[in-house]
Amino acid sequence: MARGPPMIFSSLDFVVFLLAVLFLYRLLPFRGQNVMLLAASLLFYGWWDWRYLGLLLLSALTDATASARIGSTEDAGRRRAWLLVSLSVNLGVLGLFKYLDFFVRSAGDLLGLFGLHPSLPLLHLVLPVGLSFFTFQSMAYTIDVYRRRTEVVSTFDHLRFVAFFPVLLAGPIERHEHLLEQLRRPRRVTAEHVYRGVILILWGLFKKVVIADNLAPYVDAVYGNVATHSGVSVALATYLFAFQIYCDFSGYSDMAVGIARLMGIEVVFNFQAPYLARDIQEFWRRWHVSLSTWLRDYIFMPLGGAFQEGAREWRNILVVFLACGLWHGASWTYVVWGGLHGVYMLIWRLRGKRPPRRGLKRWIAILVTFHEVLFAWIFFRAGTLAHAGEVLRALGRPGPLFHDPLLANVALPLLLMVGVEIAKDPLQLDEWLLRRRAWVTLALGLLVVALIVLFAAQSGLSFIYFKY
Amino acid sequence: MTTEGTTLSARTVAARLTGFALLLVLLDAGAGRLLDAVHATVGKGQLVGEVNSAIRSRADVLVLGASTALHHYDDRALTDRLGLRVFAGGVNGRGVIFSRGLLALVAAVHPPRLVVFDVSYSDRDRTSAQLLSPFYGHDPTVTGILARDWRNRVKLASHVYRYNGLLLPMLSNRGTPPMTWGYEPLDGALPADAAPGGAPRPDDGLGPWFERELRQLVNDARRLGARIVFVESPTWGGRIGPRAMAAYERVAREMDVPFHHLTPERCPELAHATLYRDRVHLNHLGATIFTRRVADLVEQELARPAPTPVARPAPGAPR
Repeated sequence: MARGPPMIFSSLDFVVFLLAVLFLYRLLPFRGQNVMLLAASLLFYGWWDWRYLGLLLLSALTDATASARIGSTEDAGRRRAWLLVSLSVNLGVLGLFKYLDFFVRSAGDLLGLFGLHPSLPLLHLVLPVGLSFFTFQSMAYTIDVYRRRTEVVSTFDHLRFVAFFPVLLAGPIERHEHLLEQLRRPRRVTAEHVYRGVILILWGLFKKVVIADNLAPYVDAVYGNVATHSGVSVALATYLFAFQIYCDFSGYSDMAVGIARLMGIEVVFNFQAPYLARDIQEFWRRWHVSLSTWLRDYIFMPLGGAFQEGAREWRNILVVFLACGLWHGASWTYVVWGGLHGVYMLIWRLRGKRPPRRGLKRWIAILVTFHEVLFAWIFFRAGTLAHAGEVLRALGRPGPLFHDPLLANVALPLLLMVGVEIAKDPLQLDEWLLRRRAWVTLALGLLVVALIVLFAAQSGLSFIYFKY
Repeated sequence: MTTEGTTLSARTVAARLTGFALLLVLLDAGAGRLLDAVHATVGKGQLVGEVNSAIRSRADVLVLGASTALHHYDDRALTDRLGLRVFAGGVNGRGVIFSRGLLALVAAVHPPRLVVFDVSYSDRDRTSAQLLSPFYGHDPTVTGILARDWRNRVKLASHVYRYNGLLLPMLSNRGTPPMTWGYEPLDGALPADAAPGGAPRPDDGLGPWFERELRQLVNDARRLGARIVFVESPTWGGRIGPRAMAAYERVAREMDVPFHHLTPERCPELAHATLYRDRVHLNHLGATIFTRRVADLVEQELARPAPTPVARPAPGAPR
């Protein structure tokens, strides 16, 4: 059985799929909608490789069963045992598919330092798309039931919560009390839902296919062959990567929110102009919000959060950010990326200053924060620590700027995106446009569609965050 | 964020979305025509000018292929030597599929007598023919190539989309007359002691479709009454991948297409590293020497008896 590419939101295959889903959704009564949504979600995931549906079902059914058992007993020992079952299965699946080879390889490297070179077996398993997203989403439910923060729901309800296709492959990571509550009650799709949904889908598509996909070749060319590029080219590629990853991931998230809206369902926003953050704490309130709040609620707070002072609080911060790095991938580069953000956060805590609210100082703070984040992106983008070191050394290398004429295609779209981000902050685009005159929405819509048609990259690239 | 407290009525939203869609359709038609007009005035530049210049060259001998077809064939020298109009119509990164389309467009103005296909393998992502999309709907071969996939048909329904990725090259070269010659000389040279070698160029993604397209190119040329020859350009260790080369050999053998390997092994005058700009491309001096060999070869080909034209397929027959 051949494994195809995942059905990405920016493909015409997905448009056909979505139109069919919306048509049936409109036609069916509430119960029928729920069954159809689950079937469509499973089809959506199975489009990539139906065999991996087993993992999705394993994670969801384990949590449904564990939560039901936890909810049905007051015996603390049993409750804890079922929680452990859920954590073991979810983290076991993650560990097996995502981390096992990494740890085995790292152990081999460590032994190598002592002159030992054992032949350690590697599994070379394919990482299922969206694994980290759906296991975290599913596992959080069991933890919440254990903490008595949410009620037990049917297996069917939990399954359609975990598999809900707009958020299945790359989030936002949803919570029971937000998404499932909407899935469980009859929904009304208003005209405004559709209007706002279309705005977000178009904006997300624009960021993905025009900006992210057009920046990718330059970044890949430079990072793929750092030795032959000058410092100025490497620096430019790093700046462009910052925008590539933002537009790729936030574009996907905006589309996910917009698609859910077309069904009258609200999904949490994942991004809020993160590069306009004035300090690192604010950055994490604006970047991948559903992950940062997940880590806060399920790792940071259980460790004691910020209520403990001194070394313990610092430890908690570092643990959370190292986990955040490791969540992204099984590589030391992600660990360093997470560690760097942890260190930034510690420095921010020690300084304890409020960020400037306006004026030149505000813009200086934004620039400083952006460059802190930018430095960490080098480790995120590099394949290995050695590669990251090569990139850092190359930054000082003299030489001409690597010129790619195709990069010109992205100049105007990038300016437009940055301008809109500054103008709309702190609102989301749909909210901001609703407060403007109708012609502003119309003009922006026409411009965005024109840029998509004229400059969308020919080769539809997969979303970066599918691999996490 | 919640959307409770709806402020837009269904009628307002319907009116706005309908108006938006209608405006898009009208603008697409209008802007599409404007882009058609600008496109026709572009005679310079790799992406648009090269194609337009090839079409208007009225070439008797047309060189097709990728970058080696662009940088190895001095068409002015060939024209002077042969007394026939020669045009080097290679375009960077383009392969068999693109060449089929370009041949059809060139032949619609002036059918060539000889097609020299400089063998390459540049069709890996199959988007290389997208450069011909401004001609979608104008030429049946080009339309057939581009409309192969339903997704592409949907996208090409937009007139403006046919200029995807071409706007800036068009604007920067608008109003330029067509180039007389397609050849682009390359500067620079490998060190004299550079050893030939290295891995062949990748030919991943090659499947039965590649050979099918190649056979179609041969048939297209013959249907137009032109001879076709395959030429393997010299490289300094950067030969095309073995599977692609095997496909060329097979088609040449089975369809009786002359295949000339002008490699350094067979042409000692080209076996010097200093004649190469890099592992794959000759520099201007190398191209000058290579062009002399090509001129001999073209003369020899044109002296052979004319090939039997292949009948045009019946309407509706699979292409």
